[in-house]
Amino acid sequence: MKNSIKVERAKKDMTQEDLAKLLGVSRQTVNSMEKNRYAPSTILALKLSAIFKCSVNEIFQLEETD
Amino acid sequence: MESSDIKLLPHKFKIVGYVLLTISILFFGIAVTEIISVEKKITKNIFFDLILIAFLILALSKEKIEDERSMKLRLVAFAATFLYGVLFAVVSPFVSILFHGSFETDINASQLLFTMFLWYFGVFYFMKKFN
Repeated sequence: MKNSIKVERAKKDMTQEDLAKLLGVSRQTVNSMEKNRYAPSTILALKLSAIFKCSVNEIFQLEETD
Repeated sequence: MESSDIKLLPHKFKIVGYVLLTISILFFGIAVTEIISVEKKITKNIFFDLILIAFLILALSKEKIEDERSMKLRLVAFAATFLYGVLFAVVSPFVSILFHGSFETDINASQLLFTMFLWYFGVFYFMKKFN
C-alpha cells in the first residue's frame, strides 16, 4: 500500500513533528508511514483524512501486490 | 482505540525502574569490590532480583509518546524475546557439552531472564529507531 502523506503534508506546509503532534503519535511513526514501512490503523487513517481534509482513498492507495 | 491494547504502567514508572536499576548496580559494585563483607551468594541473589524487577518495570512502562506503532513494536520484541528464550534453552545444553563435556549449563533462570530482557530492550529500541 502506498500513500501520499508526504505530499499532503507538504501542501499544508507541515513538518513531520507538526503532523505527529496533531495525530498524537511520535515523529518516527509519521516517518515510518511516509516511507511505507508502517501501515496505520483505520483510526489513524481517518485522523489523517480529517487533518488533510481529503478522503482516506486519496491518501492511501492499494498496490497490485496487496 | 486503546481498549484492545496491553495495559501498561504510566511513563512515570520509568523513574522507579531506573532507581531500582541504579540500586542493583550498586549492589553489584558491593559484591565485586567486597567493601562490605556480605556473602557473595546473597548479594548476587539481591542483584538479580532487583535488576529483574527494574527491567520488568522498564519493559512494562509506557514510552514518552506511546502510540500504536510502539505497541506493535513492543509485541514484536516480546515475540522475538520468547523465541530467543526457547532457542537458548534448547541450544545451550549442546553448547555446554562442546565446551564442558556435560549437558549441565551454568546459567540459571535469573540469568536467562536477564539476557532475555537485554534481548527485548535491544530489539525494541533498535526497531523503534531504524524501522
